[in-house]
Formats: sequence, structure tokens, C-alpha cells
Amino acid sequence: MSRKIRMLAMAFLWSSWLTAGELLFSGFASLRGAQYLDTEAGNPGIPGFLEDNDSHMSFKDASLFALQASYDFGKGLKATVQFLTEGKSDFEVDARWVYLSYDYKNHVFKVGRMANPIFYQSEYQNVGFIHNYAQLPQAVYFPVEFSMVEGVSVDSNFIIGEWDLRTKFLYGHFDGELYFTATGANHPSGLENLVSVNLELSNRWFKIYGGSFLSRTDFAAFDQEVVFPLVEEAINASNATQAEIAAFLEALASDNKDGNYSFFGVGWECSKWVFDAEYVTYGVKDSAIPWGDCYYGALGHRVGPLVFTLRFETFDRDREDKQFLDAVPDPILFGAGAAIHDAIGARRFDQSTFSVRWDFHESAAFKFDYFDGHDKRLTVGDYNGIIFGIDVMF
Amino acid sequence: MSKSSMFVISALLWGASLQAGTAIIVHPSNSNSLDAFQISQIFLTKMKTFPDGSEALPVFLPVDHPVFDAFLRQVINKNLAQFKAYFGKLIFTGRGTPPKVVDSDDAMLELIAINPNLIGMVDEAKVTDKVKVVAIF
Repeated sequence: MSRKIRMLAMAFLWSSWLTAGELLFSGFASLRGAQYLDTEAGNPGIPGFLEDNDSHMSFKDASLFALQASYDFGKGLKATVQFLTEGKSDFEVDARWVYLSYDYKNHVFKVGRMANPIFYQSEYQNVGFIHNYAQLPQAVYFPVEFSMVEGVSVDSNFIIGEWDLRTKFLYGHFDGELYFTATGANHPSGLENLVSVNLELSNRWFKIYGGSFLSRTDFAAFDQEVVFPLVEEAINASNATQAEIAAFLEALASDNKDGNYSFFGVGWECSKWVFDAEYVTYGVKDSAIPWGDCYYGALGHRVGPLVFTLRFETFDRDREDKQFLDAVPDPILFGAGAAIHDAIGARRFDQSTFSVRWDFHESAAFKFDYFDGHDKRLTVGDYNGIIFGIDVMF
Repeated sequence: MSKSSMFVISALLWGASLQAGTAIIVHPSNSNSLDAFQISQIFLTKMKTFPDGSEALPVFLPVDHPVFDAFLRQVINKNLAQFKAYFGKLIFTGRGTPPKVVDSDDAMLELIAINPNLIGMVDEAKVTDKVKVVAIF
């Protein structure tokens, strides 16, 4: 445990001796095995999942454990910290949430380090017990570090007739490392002035939801480490002027531009049937990063303590739109820019998953997923595999 | 009374006790009337006040209590896993905490009888005049 986390934990426990409040512990864990059964070209297909695939069963990559402590000071004021340890980061403990919250009527105000609601289930995507799959659809819920941000938020709830309207507003920033699906690696990055708005309207059986966040990117490292080195040769080979080269690099750059993530979805749960679908679109405006268009749809059937689900998901990139190169007249530079755009957007895949959930205990569920997908890259192609294990919540 | 008629009466009484409903109870001074939807919203902590604006604090029986089981199916329309998943979302997003739980019907009756902001559930057959029934399921 790092010194910073130890100090946070001590400060948190110490506060409980000074006031007569209530300390509440809760947590969740997922202990899972995962394996690619077959990979056509020997490389894994799912972003950030079993990246070091060697065809053996891994009991580490998809496993995690989290402990959350909330100190209730009374009159709506709470302090919360959540520690998360994941197998894929060698079970290093991370203080994921650290915030103060204040409940006032139907509003919850928060300040500190908290979840960034990028997509519908992003705030609780690590809590396996909540959903019906061994793994959420990775076409949408691939790992992103800015799922936690520092800032302020307000969650509100309104009853309108027989409908429930939930809203969330968040302002914050992220400073850390980002996983880029294009390179399969982390790069130092930031998101400034992040403004997020989420809405959900639901009744007993049906829900419709959507949300979006805008921010100013700090992706200078990605530009310097990945994008610009790839065009050095083309710049040297072209007859472009210094002004044209500068315009070309600005067209490619994803730093200091507008980043936008949006989602929209519906869910329906009636009798024994469960349906869920979510579409997400995201990208950095006027940059070499192609816009992402991803979605999943799932239909499940509940039989006693079992839920059987069939799911289809797509991870796609808009590689056709080359408008970001409109101000690049030089054909060599244009060609290099287009090639980078295509290369960054090369990862595209479709996947089908059959899932079984078995609620064998009031606080635990056994899950099994069989997935079968196709990645359009020649270095990946067809792949399939299994994920299974137990999700608990306490 | 003959042995056979005593048996019939006992069987009827036993059947009646098995079919006793789930009573939703509040403090006698609570003058609010609540429909099924409002009751479910209060117990899911979505609705935090009674219609008159006073604070509404739901109290549950333990998950293995038969009244709680009936309450989940009839009022909340969720099974236990769905119910726990719902409150899991609230806990792990910081949007709320689950209601308090008391051990038994008797403890529930005692608690409701002393606090006008509480709303709870109890076996209909155990209702006393120290609480007010707002609905029976």
C-alpha cells in the first residue's frame, strides 16, 4: 500500500474517533478465470483484455476486489473512500474514489475524486454482481483511466407521475495516463474543464438514458510519442513549406482540442425477459483520431435463479471522414495523414457473447461467458474464448 | 364441537395465517395516504418525503423474513438479486444507502410507534393499534 493511501486510510479512521457518526463498510469482488480458446493470428481481440495472451487460463486478468468505507457524520454529510485492487495491475491497491457528499432532499452533492459517468454503466462497471455478464461488453466498456476524475457533481432524482427522472451534472478534470486502443498502451494524458450531463427516465419496466461529456484534451504525449514520429519521413519527402508542415501537424494533433463522449440507450425488463441496448460515440474533433461508433444489444431470459443472455457488440471507427486534412494540400502529407488516420482506426471488431448468470446465493452470482468475435485487422482475425467466475457484493 | 369440525376450523385459521398480507405501517400521527407506486418509490429511496413534505425513512425486515420476500415480489417487483443489485448501484455510485433493517416484526412495530418519519412493513396479523396501516398487499 502506498504512503498516500495509508495516510488517507488513517485520516479516514481517525475522523471516526472524533465524532459520533456511523462507519459503513461495503465492497465487491470478482474472482474469474479467462482464456482465449482460439485466436486465428495468435493475437488477442478484446481491447485491454488478456493482452499478454499466451493461450493459457488466467485467473488474474479479470479478477478484482474492492472495499468501500463511508463515514456518516449525520444530517446528510458523508465521507467515502473506495480501495480497488485488480489482477491486471498485479493487485496493487488504488484509492479509486475519495469524496465528501452531502444529501439535501432529492439531491446528492459530491466533491473529490469520483466516478466519471462516461457511458451508462461506467460508474459501477467494476461491480460485476450488478450486471448479468461475466464481462461487460468491451466494445463499449473498454478500460479507460479517466473513469475517475477530480471535481464536483450533483445527482438528482425527480418523480414525475409514474416516471422517475435521474440527472447528473459533473465538472472536473483528469490527469494521468490514458489507454489508447489504437496502440494498446498507456500514454500520459489529461482532460481539462470536463463537463458532463447525464439523464435517465424510467418506470417499473422501461428505461431510456443518455449523456455526454465535453472536455479540452491534454494529449501532447500521444502526439509526440505516437503520431508525429510516424510522419517525419513524409515531411522530409514532401515539398511543403514550413507553414504547410505546421498546418499538417496541427491537423493531426489531438492535443488541446475538444474531446466528446456521448451515449444513448434503452432497457426493458418485463416478466422474464430483459433487453438492453446502448450506442456510444466519441472522439477528438479535428484530429487524426477517427471517431468511434460502438454499440451493443442484449436479450436475456430469466429462469428462476438463472439468466441466459445473448449479446451482440460492435467496435467501429469512422475511417472514411478525412475532413481533418482539408487544409493539407500537399499530396504526400495528405497521404501520410490519411494512413495514420486509418492505422489508428484499424482496430474494429464484432463480437457475440452467450452469458449465463446463476444467483446461487443472496450476495453471490456465478457467471459464465462464451464469446466469439472477429477483428478486422489481419494480425487478429477470428477469436473466441471463455470467462467464468463468481461476483460477490457485500 | 366435533373433532372433525375443530379440524376444519383449525385448517381454515392456519390457511388464513399463511395468507396474511404484508401491512405497510406508519406512525399513527402520519396522515398521508400512499398508493402502491409511492410506497415502492419510498422503499427504493427514490422518493424521500411523504406527500405532505415530511421526511420519509423506510425500514426493512431481514431478507430471509417471509414478509420481506412477499414485499419484494408484490410491491417492488424484483427478486432478491435484482433488489441487491439496485442498492449496489446506489452504494457504489455514492447516490444513496440502503434503508435500515430491524430484526423482527416486534422490533418494527416498536420503532414505527415512536417515530413519525418512519415507514415499515409487518405481517398483517401482527399489526397493533400503536401503528397505522397505510396499505396491505
